[in-house]
Amino acid sequence: MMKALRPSTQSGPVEGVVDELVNHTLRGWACASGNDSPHVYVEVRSGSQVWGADALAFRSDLAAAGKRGGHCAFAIALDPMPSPGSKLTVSAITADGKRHTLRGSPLIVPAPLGGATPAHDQPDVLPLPISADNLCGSLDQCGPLRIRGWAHWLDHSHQPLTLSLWEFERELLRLDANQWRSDLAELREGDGCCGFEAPLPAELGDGELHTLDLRRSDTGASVLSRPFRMRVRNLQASSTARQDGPAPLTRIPAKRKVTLSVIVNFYNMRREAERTLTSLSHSYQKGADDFDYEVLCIDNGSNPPLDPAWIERFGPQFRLVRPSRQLASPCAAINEAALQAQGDYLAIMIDGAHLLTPGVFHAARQAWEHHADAVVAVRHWFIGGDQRWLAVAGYTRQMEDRLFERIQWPNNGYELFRISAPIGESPEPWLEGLSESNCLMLPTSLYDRIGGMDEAFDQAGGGFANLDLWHRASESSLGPLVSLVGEASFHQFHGGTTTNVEDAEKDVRVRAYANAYRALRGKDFVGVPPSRLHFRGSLQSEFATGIRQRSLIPLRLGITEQIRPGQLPVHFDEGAQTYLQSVYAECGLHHGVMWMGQPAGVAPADLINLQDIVYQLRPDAIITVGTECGLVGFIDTALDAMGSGDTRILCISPASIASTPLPRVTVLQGKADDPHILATARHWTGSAETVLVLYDANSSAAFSLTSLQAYGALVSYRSYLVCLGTLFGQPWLGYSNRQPLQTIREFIRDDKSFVVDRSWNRQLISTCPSGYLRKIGDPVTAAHYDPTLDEFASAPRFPENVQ
Amino acid sequence: MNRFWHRYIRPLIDIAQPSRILEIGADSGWNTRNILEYCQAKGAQADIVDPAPRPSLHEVLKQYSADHYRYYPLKSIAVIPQLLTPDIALIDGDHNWATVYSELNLLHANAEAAGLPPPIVISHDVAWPYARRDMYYNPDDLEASQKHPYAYRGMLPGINELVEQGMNGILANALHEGGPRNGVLTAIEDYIASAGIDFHFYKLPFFNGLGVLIPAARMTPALQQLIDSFFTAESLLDACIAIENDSMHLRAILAQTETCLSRRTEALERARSVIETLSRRIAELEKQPVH
Repeated sequence: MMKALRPSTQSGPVEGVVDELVNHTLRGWACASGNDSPHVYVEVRSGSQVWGADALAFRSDLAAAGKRGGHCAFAIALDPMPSPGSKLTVSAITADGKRHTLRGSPLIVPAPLGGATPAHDQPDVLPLPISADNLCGSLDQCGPLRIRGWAHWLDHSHQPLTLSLWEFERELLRLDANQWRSDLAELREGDGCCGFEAPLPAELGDGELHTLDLRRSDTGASVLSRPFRMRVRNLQASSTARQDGPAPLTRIPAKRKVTLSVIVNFYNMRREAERTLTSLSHSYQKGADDFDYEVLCIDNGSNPPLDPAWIERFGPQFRLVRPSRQLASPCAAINEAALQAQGDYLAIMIDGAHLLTPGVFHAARQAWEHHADAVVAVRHWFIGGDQRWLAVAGYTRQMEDRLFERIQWPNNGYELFRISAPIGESPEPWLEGLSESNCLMLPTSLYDRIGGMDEAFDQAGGGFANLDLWHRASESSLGPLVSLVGEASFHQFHGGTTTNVEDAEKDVRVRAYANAYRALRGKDFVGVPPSRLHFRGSLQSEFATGIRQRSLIPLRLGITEQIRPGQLPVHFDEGAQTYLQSVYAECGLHHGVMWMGQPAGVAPADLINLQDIVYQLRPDAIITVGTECGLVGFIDTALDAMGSGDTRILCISPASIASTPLPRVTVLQGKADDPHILATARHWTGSAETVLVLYDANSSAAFSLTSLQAYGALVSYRSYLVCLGTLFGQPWLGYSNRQPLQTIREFIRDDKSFVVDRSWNRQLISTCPSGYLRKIGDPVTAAHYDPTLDEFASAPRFPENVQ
Repeated sequence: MNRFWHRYIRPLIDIAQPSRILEIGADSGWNTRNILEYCQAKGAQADIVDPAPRPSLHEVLKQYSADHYRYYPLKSIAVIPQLLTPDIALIDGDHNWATVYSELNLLHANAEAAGLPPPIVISHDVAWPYARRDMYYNPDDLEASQKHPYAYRGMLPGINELVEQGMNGILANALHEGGPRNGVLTAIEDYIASAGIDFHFYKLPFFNGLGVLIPAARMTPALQQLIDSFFTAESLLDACIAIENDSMHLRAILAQTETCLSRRTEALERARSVIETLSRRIAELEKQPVH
């Protein structure tokens, strides 16, 4: 099993390890105990030969393990290389001149490689440390498609830093180390704005081993200890199944031309088709009176089949197309229809259950007037909301019909937003990246050039064929990628392959589609990021702004007594949760939380949490540091209710407490980090078996790493050190000089027996995020049992005992 | 996983004759030693992946020529895309759906890119407690959507909720067992269902469970015969004996622990008596007038 943190490899004043000797370079790490200790010098001896280097280089794994902030790695080039069989002794030399042999020393120089794969043919394993004069960082990734890492000046200066990737004496690309990365900000590497990332040059993807170097662009100095070897898989040639896409389509020029040909695919959805076709009609589409378009309606094997006469009722431009082959996937049928189309542009609607808002054609026309090669994508919403769950709960097509009746559709097509939710229930439905469009409008020439729908997607419904079409169109477009705002397609409830099946089944299907895509393209599907999209349009409906209008759905359908199981990360993401917490903190709502007339100083959910912790632990002793009177009273009341009469409370407060004395509470006035107070707390705790500590980080100026360690030492195994008020030191309160979270990070980095137990922060609003520290390490087992602890001196002899 | 080595894993390796083995989750290096013995004997290569092993792994690695292995102190998800496709992958890393499903898919993608079938996968923890329940060594490493609500509480067989006195309470365990995207076995089943190729999957439901996943393209009559032999009455009887031995070993540890606890309890009783005597005496002395 893997453990979360790499354990220390050596006890004592110096710790470290010799990791490897590869290609003349000896690597490892070493540091003296304590984060503020000066770096050590590492010396390698073999007979009379001596090499050495400062253990100063940065390694991200060491940073994560809390080893001198990561700045304690070494890489010593052994030149000349000692002969095989030579013994290398590796020592760390501290500032006082003392030598400490590192774990892994002595090391025997291995015989020349004779195994199956010589080392010099092997690529290096990333990440690799970036370490140079006044510079540190990490090369995290190089291939298959991108190069990625971070670097910053050690003095944290804001001087621009540009790195270059070189192959021998040829510069391949430049990288500005100025991108903000949340993980770097979390690691407190500079201000977090030191990441770099770029696509790798395609020429590196030839499957051959390349020797590359990363250098400073200004001086040309290498920032790695040596060039690194990288083999980037040849995605184009390494698999027989791989292909960029289908061959271009060959079209016979149409005799008559129209601007747009809409190709809409139907399969057993007569009911849905009626609304879809209505939404494509002249009478519905606004500003399209003089817009010449045709609608090719594919009936891909419906039973009963669609009637051509019924189709033509929607207008003279509507006609039925029956594919020459009946396949489960609609791709071939769409291509066949596309080749019959007369339009300069095509609108591909792979799922005929989608109807449109009234301004789609007008908006597309405007986009093409602006740029004739624009690809126009319409985002999709779902009538009624989460159709998959609704279907399980008893939602029916008849209920959906009532929704349409309620908004009197098609009188005002934008009323569709009132009865729908955007895909994924995104809180920002218009501005996110785009994975697919169920009304994708593109120049016919582009469609032909990229080969249209890829018929290799042969799953029922087409699998990821529609996503693939959008992706290939986006890659090959000569014009902008326009994402319409305020216009949408709306999916009606029917038996689709992924939209109207249960979650688990949908999950399996989507994963299968994703794998099929990867098998075909040789890479995982990636949507088009918002940075590549041009947003065009306007909001014609106040209900189109997002999902916060859910309560405005104007009809009680009375489907079920069940409540839909929510998915917190989806429905209320981390950004939303942070925003909620910041509002709570900045409005000071916790000041209104009282217990029996006294302020509690924490959020209601924290009160319940603390009650639950006390109930579970039944502590013998509780130490509160700097907490409000109401919280102590609350704990006391909870203990009474639990019948825990023997539990004692020590209340350490910098000021005198005016509340009514409680029998179980001992008040100790003074600063939490005062040695006398600490000694008294230790003495008071005595032999209590289960000890809980509540430490208010917000009210106590003494909240420091040292005092946290002191009070942490009093916490019993599997109990908690709860740091209250950590809400007021969260990163989003960037203007605040309070840093309790940083103190907590340092504490758990040094004391591996504690973890941040975020399971207590599930109620969203807490004044103690990341504040529930549980002691789960260092259990005593039978193997570690110390029988001498069972020996007590007998009672002292008092005169009355003397006979 | 090491308890499966001699009877199950080693014979599988002997039949499959892999030229490259991947081990995810080396821990103390017990299985690593076995893998490297094989690699040394057969000239095969091993990729050993563990971001936080016990120190003894390094002792094990030092005993073998670096010609036969590479050690990656990184998370499996970061390493696999950099590796050549193994013939056999032993998975005993982070026991949660998101990680295991990603590992399997990354291995699959690598194999596809190389024009090879995916590796034979030998996975630990396909039985209780982590078959249908996620565990996270470091919950913060995963996105919110990749993990279930969890707590540092233990588990008991047959009880869905976590309990304070249960097993593995020092780890972040999913609050509930079962349901979608939960647990190691679920991840393997979901991978099989979506991979688009045929597999044979076998499960040995003891010692936390061992799963053997063989792509149809890698199945041979000899391998099939070996797998079948795992499920004969004789083999299962041997398994019973091994389980009984394990049970007896645990009972011995329990007895030792009870002995320690009894001694400690008696000592504390003595200590309490001492303290009470001292307390009484102090109270008496405090009552005496100060001269």
